[in-house]
Amino acid sequence: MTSPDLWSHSQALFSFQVSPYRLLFSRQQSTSSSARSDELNQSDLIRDFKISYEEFKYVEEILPSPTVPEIKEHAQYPTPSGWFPPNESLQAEQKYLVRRTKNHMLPVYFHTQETWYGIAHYVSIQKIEGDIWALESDVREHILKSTGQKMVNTQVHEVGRFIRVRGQHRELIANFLLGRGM
Amino acid sequence: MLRNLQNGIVLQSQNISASGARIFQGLQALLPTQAKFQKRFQSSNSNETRDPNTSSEDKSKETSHAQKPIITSRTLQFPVQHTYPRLAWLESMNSLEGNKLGMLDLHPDVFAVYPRIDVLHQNVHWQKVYRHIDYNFEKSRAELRGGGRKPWPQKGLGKARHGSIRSPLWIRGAKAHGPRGPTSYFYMLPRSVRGLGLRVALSCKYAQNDLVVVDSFDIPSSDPEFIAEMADVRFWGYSVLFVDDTDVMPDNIAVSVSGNEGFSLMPSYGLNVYSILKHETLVLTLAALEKIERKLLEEMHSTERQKKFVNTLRPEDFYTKPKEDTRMYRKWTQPLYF
Repeated sequence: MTSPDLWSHSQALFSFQVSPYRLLFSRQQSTSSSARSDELNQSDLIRDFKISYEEFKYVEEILPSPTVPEIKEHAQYPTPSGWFPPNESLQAEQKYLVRRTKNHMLPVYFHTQETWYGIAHYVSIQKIEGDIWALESDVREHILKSTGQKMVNTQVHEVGRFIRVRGQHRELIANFLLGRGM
Repeated sequence: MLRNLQNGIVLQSQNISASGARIFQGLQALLPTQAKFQKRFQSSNSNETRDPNTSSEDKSKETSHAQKPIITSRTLQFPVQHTYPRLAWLESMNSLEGNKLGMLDLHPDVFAVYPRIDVLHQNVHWQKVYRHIDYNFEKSRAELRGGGRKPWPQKGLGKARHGSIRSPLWIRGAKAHGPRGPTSYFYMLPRSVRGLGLRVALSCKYAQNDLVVVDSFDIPSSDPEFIAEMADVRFWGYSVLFVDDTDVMPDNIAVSVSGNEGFSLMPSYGLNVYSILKHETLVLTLAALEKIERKLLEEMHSTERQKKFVNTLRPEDFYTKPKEDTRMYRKWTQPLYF
C-alpha cells in the first residue's frame, strides 16, 4: 500500500479514534485478499529440475580464499593494470634475486621521512637474496645514467636484506628490476 | 665482514649420494635455469608409493630387510620456480642405528630461507619478554607513612627549607620515579615476523645438518639409556628436541625422553624459535613435518588481515577463590535409604 493511500485510509478511520495498531490491522485486511494463498499448492511446485555442478566454478571465483591464488597466464603483458610477471630465464642470469611479495608485487616501497634538515624521500627494495652489493651498484648506475645527477646516496642493510635509495626514484627502480626479470 | 662470511660459507645438504649432491657455494650463486630443476623433479618419481597422504606407519611396518625405498618424493604446496626443493632422509627409530626409509622433498620457502638473524633475535626477545611482569613497587611521598606536616618553619632557624620528611631528598624518604606496581611488558610480534622466525630457524637447522626426519616415535624400549645411545650413535647433538604432530605420544618415547636431561618432547603446536635454537638437534616426525610446512606456507600466502591482539583477561580472572566444598551438604539433602 502506498503512503497516499494509507493517509486517505487513515483519514477515513479518524472518526473511530484509530490507533496505530488498528491502522496496521486494517491495512492487512485490505491487502489480504490478494495474498490469501498461505497453503502451498502442490501444482505450484517445480518438479522438472536438474542438479548441475558445472556452474559452481563461477561461485568459486567469488568465494574468498584463505590464501592468495596464483595469477593465470595472460595473453599479453603488461596486464591492463600494468603488471608484469617475473621472468625466470632473465632471473637466472643475475647475481641477485628480488622475491615478489605474496600478492605478486615488487617489494619496492617509497617513504617520506621528516628530518631536521627537511623532508627526505627514499625508496626501499626489500626481500633481496644473493649478492646485495652487486644489486646496489647496478641500481646506483642505472639511476645516475637515467637522471644525470652527480651522486645517489644508498644504504645497504645486509642482515635485514634491504637497500634504501635516496630520492623519488620508485618508477625508475621498479622498471630496472622488471628489466632484470625480478 | 658479513660479505666475507657469505663468500666463505659452504652449505652441504644432508647425506645424499654424490650424483645427486649439490654443494651450494655461499649465498651468492644464483641457481641455474628451470630445465635443470625439471630434470631433478622428474627423476625423483618412482614406482613406489608417492602418495603423501598414506601414513608412514604403514610403510615402516615393512621389515628392515626392505631393499626398495618407501618414499622417494613429496608433493609440495605453493611450488617455487627460482630454486630447488631441499632433500632430507627419512629415518626410522626401530633400532640404535636405524635405517633409511626414503628421501623427502622439503619446501625451500620453509627450509632454505635466508638466515635472518635479526628476525631470530626479535622472536627470542619477544618470547622472553612478552610474559614478563615486573612486580617491583616503590611508595611515593604521598603513600609513605608520615610526612604530612612541615618539619620546621620556613624562615628563622637557619636550617634548609623543607615541606615534608618523606620528600626524595630525605633519608628514608620516597623514591621520586621508582618502579610503580606490576608492569607488564606484553606485546605481540606481527604474525608474519613470527612465521618468518620459525622458517629461518628451521632453515638454519637444515643448513647445519641438525634436522632429522623420522617416520614415527615408536621406539622399542622405554629405557632412557636407549635414546641417549641412539643420539650418540647417530651423532645427534648434546640436546635434542623431538617434535610430533599430536600431543599424545607413545609411552616408550615419553619415558625415555623424560629420563634424559637436554632431551625434550613436544607437539607441533609448541614449536618455537627459542626451543629450536636451544636444542642442538631437531627431530621431526613425518606427520609433524607435513603439518608445520603446511601451516607456515599457508601463513606466508594468507589473505587474512591481522587483527590487533586484544587481551580479554580481566583482573577478576586472576583472583583465586577457595573451592567451596558442597559434598556434605549434598549428601544430607538426599533422602537416606536403608
